[in-house]
Amino acid sequence: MTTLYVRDMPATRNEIDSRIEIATQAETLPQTLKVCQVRRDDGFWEGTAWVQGITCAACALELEQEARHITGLQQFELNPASALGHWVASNPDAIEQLNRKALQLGYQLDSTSSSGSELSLRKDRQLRKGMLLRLLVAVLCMMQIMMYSAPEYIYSPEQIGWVETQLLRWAQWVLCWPVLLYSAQSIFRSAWVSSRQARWSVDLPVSLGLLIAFGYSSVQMPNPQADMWFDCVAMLVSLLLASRWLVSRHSSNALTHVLSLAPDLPSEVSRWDGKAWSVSPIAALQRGDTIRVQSGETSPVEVMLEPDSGRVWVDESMRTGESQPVLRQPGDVLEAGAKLVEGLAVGKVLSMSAEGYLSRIGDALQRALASKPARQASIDRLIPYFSMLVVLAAALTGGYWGFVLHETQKAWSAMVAVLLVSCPCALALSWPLVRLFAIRSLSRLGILVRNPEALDRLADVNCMALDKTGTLSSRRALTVRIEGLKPLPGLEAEQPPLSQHEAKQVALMLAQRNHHPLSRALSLHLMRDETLVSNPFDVLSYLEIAGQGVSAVVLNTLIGEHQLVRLGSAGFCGVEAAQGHANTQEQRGDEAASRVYLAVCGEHLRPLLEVQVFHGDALMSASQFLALKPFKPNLLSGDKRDVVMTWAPELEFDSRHFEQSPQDKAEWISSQQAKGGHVLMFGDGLNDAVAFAQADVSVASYAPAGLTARQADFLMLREQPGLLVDLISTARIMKRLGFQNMAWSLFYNLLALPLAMAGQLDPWMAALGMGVSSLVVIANSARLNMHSDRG
Amino acid sequence: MDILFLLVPLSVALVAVIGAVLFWAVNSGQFDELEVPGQSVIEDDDSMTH
Repeated sequence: MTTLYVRDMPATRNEIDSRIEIATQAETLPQTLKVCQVRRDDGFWEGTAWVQGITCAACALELEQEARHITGLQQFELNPASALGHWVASNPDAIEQLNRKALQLGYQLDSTSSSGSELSLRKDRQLRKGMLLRLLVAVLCMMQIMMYSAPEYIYSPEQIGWVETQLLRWAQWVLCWPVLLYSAQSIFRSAWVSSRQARWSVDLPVSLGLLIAFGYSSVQMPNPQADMWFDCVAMLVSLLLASRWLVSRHSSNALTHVLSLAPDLPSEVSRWDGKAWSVSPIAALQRGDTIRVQSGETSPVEVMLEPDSGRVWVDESMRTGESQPVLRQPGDVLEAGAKLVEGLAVGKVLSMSAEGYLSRIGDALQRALASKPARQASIDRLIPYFSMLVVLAAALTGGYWGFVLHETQKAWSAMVAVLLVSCPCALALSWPLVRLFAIRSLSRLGILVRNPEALDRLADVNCMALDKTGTLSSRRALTVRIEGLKPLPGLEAEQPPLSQHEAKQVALMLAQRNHHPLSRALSLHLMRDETLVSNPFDVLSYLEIAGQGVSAVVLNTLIGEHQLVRLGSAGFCGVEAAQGHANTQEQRGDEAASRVYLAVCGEHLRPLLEVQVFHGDALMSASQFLALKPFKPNLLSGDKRDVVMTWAPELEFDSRHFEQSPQDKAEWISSQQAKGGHVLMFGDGLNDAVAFAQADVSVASYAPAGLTARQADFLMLREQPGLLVDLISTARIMKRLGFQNMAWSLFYNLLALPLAMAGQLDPWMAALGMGVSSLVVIANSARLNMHSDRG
Repeated sequence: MDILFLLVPLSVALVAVIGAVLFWAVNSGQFDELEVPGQSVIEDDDSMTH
């Protein structure tokens, strides 16, 4: 059985063909492992997988260390909180080797691929069911054991009666067994696994402490002078399991939240096989296939609507949250998961990925959850030393009290206290947990975290560069006016190569191919013209020139003539070359507008059409904008001076910059950085790539079609630029809570260890302290959710 | 205090019974979703009631 899924990674579409090739290559590999990995542009393989059996930081650390010994595995990161692993390998077999190692250690790598996401969610749910049962059993037994043990804390065995005391001790002993054998399994297993590898795990001191406490109490049961520690054992196990269960619940919530957005996508679709419509499974679809979606059905893949499709009304609420159906016309992209409310959609498959948009979001989120910030990596390296220190301290304490002071009872109790009190679990959780909560609450708000490292940088942002079109202003609110241009002076006699009607048809063809906001507005506008529906033009070659426009060769299929045409800025289309001509256009006294031109290249560039696009209003109100003010918002726009300076006067920018090329934007950002600024760039990410790379943090605004093409740290999944404020405040809260967590757990451990060694802590205090310290970290991290819920 | 010799073993047996109930509850999905049922009470659509 071949079980390697190759999936659509965030990448440009023209790579998909090479992916198909990879898929066939991959199928020849002997795979017993159900994971998905994808070859990147640089030849490395990258993927994510759930790792079953990860119950704590120690397990994650163990597998990571194991991964370092595998040749060809460049990088393997495992987040203990989410149990998601992320790797980069130079050969595709490396992860298979890791899985073999993992199986030996009692873990298992499992698929998170699109087809397996539901499966792994179910498995995860089962895993959590098991955890919950273990926790409940431990708590139940703990409560009962505490009841039996309470008399001995108040009265001496003589006062209770020796026979009754023994009866109570026996009951405690009986109820301790299910706690150790059933509930504490995962703790013992992780300790066993790492000690087998001669490694010091977090669970090793705890396990030793539990075993010593239980063993000592069992042996001392007939001794009326001895203390019983069955209650400590049960309490520690309960508290430890409670914190682990909480963590696992939250981590899977983050993922289910995104995956639960996924509608029930059909597994089959009606495909045109050249002669007739036939039902085809999604897996057999290929890019470029023509498929049909009827009203009431959900599109399982990303589809580009064809001209003969007609208009359709689509419910995209699964992604936008807006229940209002939207109009999609030929040339538009129908996203996977979009439900047809009215009409019949016929179109070509754009993305092979069965879950398209959602699976890409899921992928990105999984990668974010799996990665580990540098801060955590340095803490992780400390943890084995810390465990070693604790065991050493316990041995010293026992030796000192037992052999130097000859207090056997005290020696055992101090030793148990040292082992139980100083589990660095809280420390290990401090950062991953707040990050997990941050990613989770951001995805709930509609912000996809692609680069979690950027969350750390985000807290320092003090300057913002904001793009206008498609970012702060809606691309949907654009209105378009098209006018034919008079021939240039001196060329009046020449017959234009295209009639005005033909020029519009050409403009439609070109605009449809482009995702630039202006192009989209233009194509939407032209689509309303019924006379343009039967379009004789075919695009033979197509070239995008960044910041300028597109240049293309179009063929009129009716008469077999082809033309070289340009669609783009005035300079690009030769409009500014004729100043007098441009002036007559300006004299109309328009309100702020962007202009796009269509020109034909013959001997001269010959502009035929002028398209005026009026910009929509700002998507933010002045009061929302005020929340951005502390971060010094600056407007960097490629638009003309008068457009930029007069647009949305109610928004008080620190500065407004106009006619900015992508390079200008990058230079402006670096000039701010030279002054000590930490700059956040917020743009549509389509032609801001240089600026995005220069900025400390990049945020891409909502754009349905561009998800794959953009390399931003954060992606907005909703058209609400105001979310920027939430993003920054979440990052700041995250940073604060993370440092609080770390400070607390370090303080706790540094305080508790000497106290326990000095014999000042009874085992029950140690168990309570340890459990509570972890729960404090969890509760503190959960405050992040409270903040974002309120916002 | 002879009654303890009956009550203590009985309570241990009771723990076993409660444990069995827990297993049933978790495995039959009682704890699968803790948020939605709570909210569904509040978000009850009155137009549906007759």
